[in-house]
Amino acid sequence: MKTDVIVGLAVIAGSLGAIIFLTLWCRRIIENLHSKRSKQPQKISEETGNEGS
Amino acid sequence: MKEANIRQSEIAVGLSRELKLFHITMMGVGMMIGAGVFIGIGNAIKIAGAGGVVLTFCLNGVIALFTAMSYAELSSAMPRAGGTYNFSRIAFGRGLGFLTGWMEWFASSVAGSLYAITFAMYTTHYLSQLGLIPLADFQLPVVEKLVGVGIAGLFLYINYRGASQTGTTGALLTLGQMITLSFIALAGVVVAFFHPERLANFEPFLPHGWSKLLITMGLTYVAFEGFEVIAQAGDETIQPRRNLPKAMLYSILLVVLTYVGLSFASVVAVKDVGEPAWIWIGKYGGKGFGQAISQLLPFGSFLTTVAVIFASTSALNATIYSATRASYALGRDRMLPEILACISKKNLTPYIAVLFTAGIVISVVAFLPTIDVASSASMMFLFLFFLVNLCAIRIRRQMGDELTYGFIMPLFPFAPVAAIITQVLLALWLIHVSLIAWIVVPVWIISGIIIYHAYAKHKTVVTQDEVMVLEEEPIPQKRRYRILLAVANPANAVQLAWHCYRFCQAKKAEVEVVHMVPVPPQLSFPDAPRYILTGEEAIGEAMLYLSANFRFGSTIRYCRSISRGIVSTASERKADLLVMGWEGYRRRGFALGSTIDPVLKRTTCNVAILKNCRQQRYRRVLVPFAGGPNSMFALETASIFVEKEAGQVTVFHVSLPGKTGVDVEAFLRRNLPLLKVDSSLFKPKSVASSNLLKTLLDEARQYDLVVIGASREGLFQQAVMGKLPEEFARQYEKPLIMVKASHPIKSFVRKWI
Repeated sequence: MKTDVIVGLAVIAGSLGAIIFLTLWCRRIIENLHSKRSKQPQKISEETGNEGS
Repeated sequence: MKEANIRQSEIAVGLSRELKLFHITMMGVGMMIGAGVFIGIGNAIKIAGAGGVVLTFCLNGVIALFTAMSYAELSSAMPRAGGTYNFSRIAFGRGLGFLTGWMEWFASSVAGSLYAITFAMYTTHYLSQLGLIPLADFQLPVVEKLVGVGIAGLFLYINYRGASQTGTTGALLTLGQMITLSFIALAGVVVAFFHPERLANFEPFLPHGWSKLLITMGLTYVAFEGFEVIAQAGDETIQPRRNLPKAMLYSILLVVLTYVGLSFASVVAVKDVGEPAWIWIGKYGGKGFGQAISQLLPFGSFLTTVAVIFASTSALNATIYSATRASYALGRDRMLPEILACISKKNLTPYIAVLFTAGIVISVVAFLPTIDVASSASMMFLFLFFLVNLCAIRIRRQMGDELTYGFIMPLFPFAPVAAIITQVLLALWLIHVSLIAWIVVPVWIISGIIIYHAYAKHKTVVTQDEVMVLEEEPIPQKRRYRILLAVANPANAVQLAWHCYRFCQAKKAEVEVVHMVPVPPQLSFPDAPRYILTGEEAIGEAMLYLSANFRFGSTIRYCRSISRGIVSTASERKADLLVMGWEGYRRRGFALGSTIDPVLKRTTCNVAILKNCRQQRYRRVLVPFAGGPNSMFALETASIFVEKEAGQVTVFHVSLPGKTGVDVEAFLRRNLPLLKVDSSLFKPKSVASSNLLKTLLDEARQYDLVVIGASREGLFQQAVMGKLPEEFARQYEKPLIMVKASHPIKSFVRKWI
């Protein structure tokens, strides 16, 4: 098999793998943030005053 | 429209929240897989070969996914109709924001025209081939135009009827399209399985080498444009912070797998043609895909036509949706006449925006060379992709801590930076775009600029995340060193003004006093004037001290975040030094507080933060010294505040036992002449200690004032060095000035990104 075929197939496999991996990773981040947010009570306004004077 | 329709501002009629994850994912897929990909496959094989086409879609998929991650992060934080327009307005201000929305509207509309005419061309051609509509050649273009207008009208009506109808229709069409395309891809896999000799069609894998890939990537990248329609559905999606980012990522994944499957199928489909498969397909150019599929399946030609019809209609549906929401958002923020934001009471859709979009879509279909005009959409979409990656970086850096993200992209900022660079390279293919597109795009942009300056600039309303000027008397023109003094309350304003006076004297500066009125998110900006009195008093106090001797200006602004308000004002006013106070309070998780931390991090000019500073003489001043980038500015500040007669500045260095410390004397000898100060004022002192903080605190008790540089920036440096200056500042109770010097390169980068 020629070098460009091997490299080409590796790039194809790598790109598809990266796309699937990133999608699953991002999905996990979304779910984690969502579950964290739904556990927390509604955040009350953090800042009422002006810290800088 | 007989039902009563009302303006959004009069009664709170909002868009209806009906779209589910499935709907918006299908909408994104539908808009991406337009008819372009069927033409693109043949052309890409012609240029890059059989292996090159699969590589092209895989690599483009990665770039598109990086951009989708930027869109996903921003949409999850700001899930509102308007998409890129919202992001751009928040990141880069009203001017570029308007232009982005203006381009988004046009690009989506003309892309819709292209899909309408594609549908018309394929159906009329197929029906006339079957003999169902006997037409002479000269009649065909007229019929195509009529069919194009008809199908565009139908989908405009569906969009008017409601988000649910639009979503369901789009989902059904996309589902039909995905089934057809999956069937073709699957047939390719089956053929390759039973006839493995067909895999030889992939040889030569890259007949013209790797360099041609950039051209085919540019050529086919347009096939990944479309998922941004999902960002437009922020107001109409159930659980938008969760579903918008998911839909974007899923739609990219589905589309990449479909494109790779179709490319593979079209290559293995070719048999017994007497020449390499890539040459045979390439000979047909844009029609190569259809020719190959007709070899793969007995009814391949019919299947291709069905796929194109499904693809063009689902894309048409999604583009009209995107265009109407873009124009609706411009009307909502009064960038364009408010009438565009009118929502039908019955259908809860922006019916006037649909009407105006109909005007553009139908005009382009009926009266203009649609295919040429529509290629301008590709140029605009590429620009929007480029911009959204910039927005993701800028917004995360400048106001990331204020936003509630439903998704935070990994690999930041690598992913958006990589996407920006590759998109710039891919833009090179634009030289192949038709001349008409090169005329249309500048004309649309120039008309946008004119409308912005003549109308939008004056009429627009403040959005939730902007900083609004309430009262200001600025210094007309910057003539000398400019100091921005941020005051919060009258009690501390006098002390701040007194210290600012010393800076002004030393620098022969002009001074502008700013007061930020923080308006909590639950209040609207019009409710803010009740908070203004404190600011007016504070400015009045500062004015008494400063206005008589120095050029003086003042401004009061509303903002959601004080730190962002101060940073943006300092940048806008081209300040050289920002002076502000700190009462010593902080929230958990912050070094010096939620206001001071971002100010120190993001301000592009010099900063001096004053704690416990009163109107007093400073005879003994301590400058803790570690040789960092803020040392020079700390020494300069100390020289400004120390009593010139009988005063002393001690430059104090603590090194760890057994380690060689910084040579303070040599540093002073080298650098004091640059500051043009009396070197006899400065006295070096070095000690060795294993507890730096305690030693520093013990030493500092003997002094009237401490001037200390802020921590070096960068996670690595902070991990190694810790945040000693900030820890010291928190624990030290006597007068203290913390300084940070501007860095020209960093400041330039921060200003623009």
